[in-house]
Amino acid sequence: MNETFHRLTELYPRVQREVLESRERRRELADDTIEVTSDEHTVTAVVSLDGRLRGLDVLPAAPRRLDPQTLGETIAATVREAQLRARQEAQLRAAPTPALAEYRRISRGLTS
Amino acid sequence: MPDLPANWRDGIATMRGHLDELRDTLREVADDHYEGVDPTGRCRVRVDGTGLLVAVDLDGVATRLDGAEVAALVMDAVAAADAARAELMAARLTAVTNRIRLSGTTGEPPR
Repeated sequence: MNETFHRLTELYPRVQREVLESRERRRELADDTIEVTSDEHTVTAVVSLDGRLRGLDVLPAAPRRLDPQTLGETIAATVREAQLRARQEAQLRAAPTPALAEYRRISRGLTS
Repeated sequence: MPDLPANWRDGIATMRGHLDELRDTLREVADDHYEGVDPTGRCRVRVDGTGLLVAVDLDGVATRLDGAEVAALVMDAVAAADAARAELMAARLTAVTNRIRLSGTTGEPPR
């Protein structure tokens, strides 16, 4: 067999191990959270690194102080900001591993 | 192109085709929007296919509630939207994997 095939065979056990480790890291993401508070401190959102909304606090008087549309927009913007920050953090933690990156590069070259 | 046996090249090309189809489906799902409503119907939310909260609509009654009650309505509506998104995503991915299965791929490595 040629050199490429040997390299892929050599990489495969490492890829398998790194994929399992990466999967484990992704599972752990559900335990860590990001908290974001709106500028006026009206809304605070807590989102886990897997993007799920875990908690939401709205100031007790906020529904009477703000009209429903403004309150809805503030809630959506705050939660979205927390989700985007969580996504960034998750991407940093679950970046492709060196063996997987090489394996992908070589296998892409096989059929192009 | 490295000199792999022809059946290996065909197998890899087939697998890449399947992966492309899966990736396209995931992209389509990510572009879709899903709606969720809390059980009282006072809060309606929209999330995109990646789960990002796009919009929150509260009805006029919300102005007579306190913050904690509004937060609970939003949490319920988001949970409903996430459930709708997960259900549709599962249905579409199952459709793709069924098509792949029917296309005759054995899952065995090429010999």
